[in-house]
Amino acid sequence: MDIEKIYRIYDTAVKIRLIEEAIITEYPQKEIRTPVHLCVGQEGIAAGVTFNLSREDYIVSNHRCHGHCIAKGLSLEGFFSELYGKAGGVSRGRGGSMHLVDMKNGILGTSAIVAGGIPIAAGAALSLKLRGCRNIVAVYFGDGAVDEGIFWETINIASLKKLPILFVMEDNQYASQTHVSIRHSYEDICKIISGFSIPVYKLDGNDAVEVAEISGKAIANIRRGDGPAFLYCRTYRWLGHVGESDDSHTGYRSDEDVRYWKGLCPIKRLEERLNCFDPNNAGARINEIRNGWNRMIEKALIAAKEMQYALD
Amino acid sequence: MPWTELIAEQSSCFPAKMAEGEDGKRILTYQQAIKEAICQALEIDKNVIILGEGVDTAGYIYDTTAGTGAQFGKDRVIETPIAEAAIAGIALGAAITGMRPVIMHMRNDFLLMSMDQIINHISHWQNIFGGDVPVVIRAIIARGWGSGAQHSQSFQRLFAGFEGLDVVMPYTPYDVKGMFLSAISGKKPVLFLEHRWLYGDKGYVPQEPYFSDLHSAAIRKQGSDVTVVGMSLANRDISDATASLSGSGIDIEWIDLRCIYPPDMDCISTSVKKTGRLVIVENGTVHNGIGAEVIARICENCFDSLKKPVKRIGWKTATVPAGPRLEEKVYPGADEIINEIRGMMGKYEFK
Repeated sequence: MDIEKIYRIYDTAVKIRLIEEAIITEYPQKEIRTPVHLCVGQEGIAAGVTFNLSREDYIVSNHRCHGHCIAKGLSLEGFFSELYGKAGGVSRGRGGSMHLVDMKNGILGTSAIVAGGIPIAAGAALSLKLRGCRNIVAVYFGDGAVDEGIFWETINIASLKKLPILFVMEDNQYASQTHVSIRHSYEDICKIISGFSIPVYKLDGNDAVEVAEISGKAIANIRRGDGPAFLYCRTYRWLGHVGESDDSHTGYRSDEDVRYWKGLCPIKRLEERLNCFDPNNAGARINEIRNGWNRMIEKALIAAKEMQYALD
Repeated sequence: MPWTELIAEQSSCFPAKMAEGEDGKRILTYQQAIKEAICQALEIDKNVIILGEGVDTAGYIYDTTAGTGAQFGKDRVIETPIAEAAIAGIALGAAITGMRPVIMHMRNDFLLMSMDQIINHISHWQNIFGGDVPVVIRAIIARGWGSGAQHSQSFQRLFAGFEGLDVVMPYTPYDVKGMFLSAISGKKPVLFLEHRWLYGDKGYVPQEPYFSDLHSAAIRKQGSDVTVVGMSLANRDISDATASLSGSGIDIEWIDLRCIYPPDMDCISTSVKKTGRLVIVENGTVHNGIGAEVIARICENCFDSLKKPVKRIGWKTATVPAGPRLEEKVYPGADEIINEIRGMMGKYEFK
């Protein structure tokens, strides 16, 4: 992949990371009064998929939605204001962390009910198809969502009606604190999805470049009218299910596991790739990108804190 | 915007039944009226789509949509798997991206399969995210012929109370058409509960499309002694009771609620202030029913107008039995309404 494209992917991925880190810093002040489900460690998927989406393409996301929405162009000030319950929040202070929207950027909304957004995304895809648009819908969900019946109902209908939808499964291996092995009677969901005549792409969700390349192919096929595709992305959640800290101490996962996956950090891997392919400039450009976003985040945070609370 | 050309029409005091051919007016059945409304909606606005299991199959959904596929295209008349939850979500996703979807449940009991989407998503969406959510959820209530516990329910109360979801129960052919066209052309989701037993009722229905107000009750008969509020099929018993009591000296004011949520409390309060007596006939059991809410509001707003304790009438059980002799005992009927009204008027006669 062209080095400038990798810089673009990195720009999105690191933006998500820095925003989540800003929340981690702010959250203990208890001024952000909304349950945050942070996506630290999973940024590569949103960055990779969004690389292939236009502004007019739609996304629908879930409770862990920050990364998907930020990647798709959500305004930073609107985002932070929403977390603080302020009037200028993207959902007018009514949504909080789990309910983000920005129709201008194709962010249709996010659901806090596991799998709840999946059929809504399919409905948007139906709408695109009926209107003869070449756009697509990407819907993000986790390995918990595939335990829900509505996921399977939607997979069936999407295939039946050849809807222009990309299913993006982020398998971070835990639904809250329950490991996938306790919840799934099957070894490989991809085999089952294939049975619905949906092309399945199994990939390393922590390799944003791989996600971008493969989702690019899948999305091109969807745009051509081939119907849905399914992206299976293996990844890992560094922090707890909810809140700003790691909850491993409760004993549901081991520190070694967390350490192992931190070693597979999607941001670090992008930086390594940039350093490898662009050794003369990467260091400076990475710093420039990080500093740029840090300044924007600081500005947005100040604006959000100073803003009026949403009152009606 | 195709819908703005329609003329809104109030039907605050429209006769419930009109004899066939009276005044040379056009008479349709309730079933023909809803079918006509759906076809006109599909014709007026290309963004209207209809989805459901059996939606284009003869004999399904009581033939209210069969044949529309050939007329309006299979892309807009969408046969679906039996996947109520996903279909409701699909309707929402289509609605927020410019379509006006109508989803169909031949039996309202199956609504519960999609309750998460209807409550957690459809009814809250507009309040959380803004924008228009023009979804119409049609569901038909059944009764009789031993349909049993899971095919005889009437779920208005389960869905009433969410500001983001209107719940309506049209009673007349005129209303079923006008209210459907109002619902499908609006900005908000509407749960549209029809009753299978009303499908043969005949009444005046104009041919041209028209709107009926979704949120007002209709005074079906004006009176001075006792306010009787009904909904859906329960109105038929009130109609019969009203006819039986004519000439008895008891003057009923019969209100068809039409809109379950939000209820037209202005209409009911005005009536109760006049009559001082209130009976509510539920299409369902009385516990946690619509009557409970209406009566609570009357007590809050015009308690001093009440001359007698209020009365609720409803089904005797929520688990409707199948056997014919058991089943017939569940539903109250006109006689029970008459007895309650006579009791309330101090003219109760022991048999």
